[in-house]
Amino acid sequence: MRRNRFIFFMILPAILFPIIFTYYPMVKGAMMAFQSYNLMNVKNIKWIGLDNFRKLFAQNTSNNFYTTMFNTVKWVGISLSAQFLVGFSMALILKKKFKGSSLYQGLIFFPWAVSGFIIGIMWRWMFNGTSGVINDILMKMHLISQPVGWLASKNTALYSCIAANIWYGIPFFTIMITAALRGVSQDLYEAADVDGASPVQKFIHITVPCIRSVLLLTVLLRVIWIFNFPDLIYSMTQGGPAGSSHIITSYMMQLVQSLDYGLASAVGVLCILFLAMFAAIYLAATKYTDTEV
Amino acid sequence: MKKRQWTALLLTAVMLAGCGGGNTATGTSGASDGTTAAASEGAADTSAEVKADGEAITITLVESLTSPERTAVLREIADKYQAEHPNITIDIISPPLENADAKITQMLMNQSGADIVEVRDSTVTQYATNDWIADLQQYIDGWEEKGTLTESADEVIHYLSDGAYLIPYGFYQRGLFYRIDWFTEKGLDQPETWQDIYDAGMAITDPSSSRYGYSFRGGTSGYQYADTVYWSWIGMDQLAHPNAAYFLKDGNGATIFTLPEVKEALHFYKDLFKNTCPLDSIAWGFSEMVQGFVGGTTAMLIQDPEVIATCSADMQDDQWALVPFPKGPSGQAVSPNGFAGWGMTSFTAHPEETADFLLFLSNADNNTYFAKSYSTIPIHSTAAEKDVYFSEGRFAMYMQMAEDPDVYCHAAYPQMYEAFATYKTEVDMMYQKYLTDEISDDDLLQWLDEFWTQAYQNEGQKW
Amino acid sequence: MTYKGKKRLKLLLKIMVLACFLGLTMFPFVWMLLTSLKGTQGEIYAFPVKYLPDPVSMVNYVAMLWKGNFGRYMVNSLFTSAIAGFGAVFIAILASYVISRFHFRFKNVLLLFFLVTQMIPMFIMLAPLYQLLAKAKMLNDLRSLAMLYTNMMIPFSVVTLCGFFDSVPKSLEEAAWIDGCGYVSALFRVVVPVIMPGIAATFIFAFINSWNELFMAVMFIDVDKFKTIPVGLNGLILKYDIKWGEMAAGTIMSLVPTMCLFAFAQKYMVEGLTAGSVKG
Repeated sequence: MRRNRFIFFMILPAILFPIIFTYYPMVKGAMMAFQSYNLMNVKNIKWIGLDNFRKLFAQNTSNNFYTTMFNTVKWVGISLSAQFLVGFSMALILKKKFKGSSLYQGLIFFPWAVSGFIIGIMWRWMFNGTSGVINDILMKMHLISQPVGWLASKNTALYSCIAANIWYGIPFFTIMITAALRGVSQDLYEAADVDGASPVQKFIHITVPCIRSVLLLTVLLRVIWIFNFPDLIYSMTQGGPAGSSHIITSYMMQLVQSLDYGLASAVGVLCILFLAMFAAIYLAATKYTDTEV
Repeated sequence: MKKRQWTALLLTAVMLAGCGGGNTATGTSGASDGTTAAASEGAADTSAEVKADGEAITITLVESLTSPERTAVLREIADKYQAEHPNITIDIISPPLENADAKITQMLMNQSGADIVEVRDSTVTQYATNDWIADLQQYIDGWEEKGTLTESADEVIHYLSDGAYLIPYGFYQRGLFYRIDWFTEKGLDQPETWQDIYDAGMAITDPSSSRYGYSFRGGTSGYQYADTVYWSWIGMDQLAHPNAAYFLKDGNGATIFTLPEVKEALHFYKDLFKNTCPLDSIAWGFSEMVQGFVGGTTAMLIQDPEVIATCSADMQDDQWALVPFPKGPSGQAVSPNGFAGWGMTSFTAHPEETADFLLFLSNADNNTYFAKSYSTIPIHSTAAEKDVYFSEGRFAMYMQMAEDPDVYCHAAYPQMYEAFATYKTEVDMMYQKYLTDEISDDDLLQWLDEFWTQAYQNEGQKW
Repeated sequence: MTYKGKKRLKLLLKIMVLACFLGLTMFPFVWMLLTSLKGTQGEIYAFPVKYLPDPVSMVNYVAMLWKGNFGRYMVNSLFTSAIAGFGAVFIAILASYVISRFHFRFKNVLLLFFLVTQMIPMFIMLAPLYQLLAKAKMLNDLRSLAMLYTNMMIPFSVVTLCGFFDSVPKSLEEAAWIDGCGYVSALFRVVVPVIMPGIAATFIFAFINSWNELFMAVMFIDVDKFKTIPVGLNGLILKYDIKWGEMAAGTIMSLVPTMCLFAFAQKYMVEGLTAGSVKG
C-alpha cells in the first residue's frame, strides 16, 4: 500500500498540469472542429459534423491539402535523417573528452538556443534572392552565375526550409547522444577489448544496445517536434510560393489567421490522430516497451 | 553533492526574489485587485475601475499596426489628455504587429481588456458583425469638429451602412516612387501610366548588374495590385460600387472577372512580373518591396505614404521622386484607399469618457500631428492650413491627387463579405500559381469569378 | 603507414571534421554579429555583400537597450524560463523515476499519455486557454506564463528522463534500500547523481524552449514591462520593414544568458559523470 501511494503522489503533479492546461483547452478546441466556427461572425456558430473535414479533403484547384501532407512527410523525413546521422557522427567523435571539448560542445549547441521564428528570419535573409549571403558565397565559388531565388521557386523553397531545420536540429541529437554515450560504462568496453573485439563489433554489441532506449526515444520525440514546428517555415516563406512549402502545422497557422477556427481545429485534430497512430506503430515496431535494462 | 543542491536552491531563490520581487508584487495586485495597482501600473483587466468617491478611470487603448515611433506619438497625445483630465489614465497596449490582430480578436471575444481598439479596413467588418465595437454616431453628432472632416473620412465612418463604427486616423493612399537618377541616366521621362512603367522597366532591367524595373508584390496581399491594374483597365463606370469593385454595375452579382479587358490586364500583370521584376519578388511582401527600392535593386515602387519617411532617411533627395498613381488605358488611375482608425468596444465600462478621448485623438490638431509623424493622409481638410508639411514637399502630391477625382479614383475589394477572410488566404497562392505557369489565365479568372459569384449568392448584396 | 602515423592521420581528420562542423554551425551567428555591428541600412543591404562593418557601430545595441526595453525583457525571460526549467525537471524526476523503476498496471498507458500530450498542436488550445486564464484573472502575469511553460515542458522531460533512468542498473538504489534509505532519499542521493548529465541536458532544453517561446507570450502578456525577449524581437517586424540591425543585436544579446547557462551546466555534467564512474 505504501508503495502504491508513493507511486501515485510521485506521478500526480506530472499528470495534473497537463490535464488542466493542455487537455481541457484541447478538448474545447477540438470541439470547434465540428462547428462552423468562423470569427467573422461568431453569432453564426453551429454544429456541422464532419463538414470541415470534408472540405479539407475536397479535390479542387485551390485546395493544397494533399501537397501539404506530402510536404510534411518530406519535411520530417529528410530533416530527421540528416539531423540524426550528423548528430550521431558528431557524438561519436565527441564521446571521448579532449581539451576544450566542453567549450566546443557549448559552441555547437548554439543553433538550438535561438527561437524558431528568428531562425526562419535569419535564414530567409541569408537565402534572399537578390542580396543574400548564400548567393554571394556561391557566386564567389563560381557554383552559380546569377543569384538564385531560393525561396521564390516552388522547387527549392521547401528544401531551403529543410536546410535551415537541419542546421537547427543537429545540436539536439548531438547533445542527447553524447550524454548517453558517456553514460555507458567503460568496463564493458574494457572487457570486450580483453576478448579481442574490433571497434565495429564493440559498436554494434555494446554501444548501440546500451543507448538504444535513449536513441529510440530521441528519434520519436524529434519526429513529433519537427512535425509541430511550423514557426520556421512560417517566418521563412509563409508557406509560399503557391503553398509549396506549407506543412500541415504551418497550414493550420494560416487558417487561424484567416479566422476560420473550425477548419483550423479540424486540421489540428487530424494532426493529433496522425501522430498518435504513428507513435503507436513506432512503439510496437521497435518493441520499445519491452526494453528493460 | 550537497553543495550542488544548495547552489541550485540558492539560484532559484535569488531569481525568485530578485526578478520575481518586482513582478509578483504588481502581479498579485493585478490579479486580485484591479483597482489600485491598475490605475498607475496597467496590470490585467483594466477596463473598469470605479471607486466609491467616483472618479479615477483607466482607459485602455490597444494598437494593431504597432511601431515604436507611433507608440511614442500616441503616448504624447495621451499625456496631453491626461493633463487636462487628471482623473483619467490612458494605458496603451502595443502587441507586436505580426500578431496584434489575433490578440485583439481574443480580447474582443473575451469581452475584456480594452476600451479603444485600432480598427482596420480588413477588420472592421469582423468586429462590427460580431457586435464587438460600438456605434459612435451619437458622439459624432455632438462633435464640434465634424464639420472639417474630409469626404474620404466621412465615407469611412459610414463604411458599414448600419452604423458609425470607427473614426479613421488616416489613409494609406498609394503613390508611385521612382529612381529619378536612374531614369535621367537612361533618358526616360516621368512615368504616368502603367504602360510607361512597363516600358521604363524594360529599359532599366539588367539582371547581371542586379537592377530591375519594378518592385513586384507577389507575396501577401499581392492581389491588391492585380486589382488596381484591372480597375485601371476597365474604368470606374462599370463597377457596381467603389467599395465592392469586384462586381459589375446592375449585374446581380456578376463579377468583373469575365470581362475581356480584365484578361488583357492580367496578361500585362504577368508580363510585368516576368520581364521587369526580380524572380524573388514572387514572394515579396511590404518590407521586401520597400527594401528592393531603397536598397537599389528596383527602380519603381508603388506604396503607401509611410514609405516617404524611409526614403528620406535612407536615400539622397535627388535620387527619388514621388508622383501620382499610374493610369491605365481607361484614362483613370484607380487604387484602394486603405484606412485604419479607432473604434470603441461595445463592452467598455466607460463609454462617455472613452468616446471623449477617442474624439480628442481625432480632432484636427492631434490628428494632423499624428498624420505628419506617422506619414498618413490626415482626416481634416484643415490639415494643409495647419501644417505646411501637407501643402508642400513630397506630401503635396497626395493633395494634388485629391483635387482631380475624375482621374484619381478609389475602389476597393469587397471586404464587407464574410467570404473575404477565406479569400484573403487563398488568393495570393492562386496568383502565384498563375505567375509560375502552374495554372492558366482562364483557370485563375474562373476561380475568381466562381468565388465571388458564390459569395454573392450566399450573402447577398452588401453595399 | 606506421601505427603512430595512422593515429596522427586520424587525429588530423578528426580535427578537420570538427573545425568544418563548427564553421558551418557558427556561420549564421557570425553573420548576425556582423549585421548587428553595421550602422546603416545601406550597409546591411549592400550586394555584393559587404562582410565587415565599416565602421563598427554600436547603435543597434544602444537602440535596443535604451530606446527599447530589452534589459527588462531579458529579466522577464530569465524568470519564466528558470522556473519552467527547474519546475519541469523536478516534477519529471518524480514521475519518470517511478515509471521507469516500478512495474504497475498503468505504466505503458502513462508513457503514451506523455507522448500524446506533446503531439497536440498549440493553436488548438490557444483560444480556450486564453478564456481559462482570463476567467481566473491570470492574464498579464509572468507567473502564469511560467506555469504554462512548466506544463509545456513536463511531457518531454518525463519521457526523456525515463530513458535515462532506464539506463541505470537497479542495483544502485537496491543497495541503498538495504542500507535503510527510504524511496525518496534513495532517489535523490543515489540515482539522480548518476544521471546528472541527462538531468542537466533536460533542464537546458526545458529552459531554452521556454526562453524562445513566442506565441503564448504574445497572447497572454499585454503590458510592455512583462514582455519576454521573443515578444520584444517580434515587435521589430514592422509593417514595412524589418529592423535588421536591431533584430541582430537583440538576438546576439539573448544568446548571452544561454551561453552562460551552458557553461555553468557543463560543469555539473562533468561532476556527475566522475561520481557515476567511481560508483559503477
